Amino acid sequence: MKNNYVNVHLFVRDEDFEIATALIADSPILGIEERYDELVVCYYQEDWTDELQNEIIDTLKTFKDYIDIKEIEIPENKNWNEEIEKQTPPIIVSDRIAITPEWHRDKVNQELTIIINPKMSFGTGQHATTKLVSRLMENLVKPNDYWIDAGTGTGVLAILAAKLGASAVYAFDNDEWSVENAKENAEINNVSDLLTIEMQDIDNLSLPEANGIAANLFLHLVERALPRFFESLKNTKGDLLISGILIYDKDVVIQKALSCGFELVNTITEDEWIAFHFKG
Amino acid sequence: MAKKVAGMFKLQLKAGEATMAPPVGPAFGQRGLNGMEFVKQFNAKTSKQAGTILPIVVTFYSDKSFTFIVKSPPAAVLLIKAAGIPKGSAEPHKTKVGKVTTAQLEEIVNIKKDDLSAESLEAAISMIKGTARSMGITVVD
Repeated sequence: MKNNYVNVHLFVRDEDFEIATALIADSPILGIEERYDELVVCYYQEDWTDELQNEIIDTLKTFKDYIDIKEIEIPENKNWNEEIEKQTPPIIVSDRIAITPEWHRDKVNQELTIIINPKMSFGTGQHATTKLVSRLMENLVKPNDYWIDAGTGTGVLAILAAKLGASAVYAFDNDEWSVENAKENAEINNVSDLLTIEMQDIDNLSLPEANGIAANLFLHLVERALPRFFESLKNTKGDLLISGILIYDKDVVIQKALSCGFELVNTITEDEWIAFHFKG
Repeated sequence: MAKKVAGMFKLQLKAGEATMAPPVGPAFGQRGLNGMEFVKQFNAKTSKQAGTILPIVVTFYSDKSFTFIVKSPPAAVLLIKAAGIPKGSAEPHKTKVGKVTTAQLEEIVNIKKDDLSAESLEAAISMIKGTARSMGITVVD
């Protein structure tokens, strides 16, 4: 699994950061942390081959001979969000729905309580985008529906669809941490039998026909996926719920969705986030 | 009351593709900051530029809240894109790897206008020209 990392500490003077970055930017980097006269370049371990190391060092040394590797560090593979998550309070989504970590289970009494032990996947319920789409789902998921959760993260929306009565839910994410975490959460919430959770890239996926799709994603992914969302929902006249969009991008989403054939039913907002309900 | 700044750090991440993997997870986690919130905000704000590497400055406060600024892509990265080449030359004096036009330079200056310290358009163009030269990219009219 791509869950192990390597941090390559490069000695680079501040004034050479920009070009050094441009010289390595086409290698499969996860990101870079800038420190004083040092760039910490992060890769997946399996991408950091001897060949890549030689290529990068050759390139950088030809640019400036003094540049060198100071240290290659294998960082601890842990839940980096743990401290903040331990302080995670239960989230009351509505009168009926709550999302809570296991250790706060006794603090909520909602009829539909979803247990999410926060790890490194998105969707602990704390974020406005999760709450918004959950509120929309509450009145739309009907018994025996087939729902899709696009970009499932912790699996929270797929689990909610199942608890609201869907007979089957297809959930996917392109992140292995999330797929693993969503499967664990489905178990904890006793809905594993109703959920199919897979690692899939939304750009390469042909979606099955569904009664509803919950997509808490990013604008560029939503724009690309809208035509396929419509194909999946047009025969059932199903519901498309989109979240993860900043209010400023509202018109972009509406125009694209209308051009694909969707009808806009409703939008709701919280903070600077907006969620949409479209009909196929 | 103004919040007390506890520190800052700088990252470079691909637009729209941040995850909790290093460097984001450790950089935020070690400081007790909510990295997941950053990932969601950063990806939402940068999704239109997906894939381009962007510098980010994160400022965090004593109450564990944080703000961040996404800067324009480094001039060197924009030059590579404009020249349509995979990367710059490591030996810029000997090996020229691509060309950009003056119009493309002006476009880059326009993208970077908020981040450049130059006092005039000419000075800004000259600054970007210098970067192009150090990467083996020739400027043509």
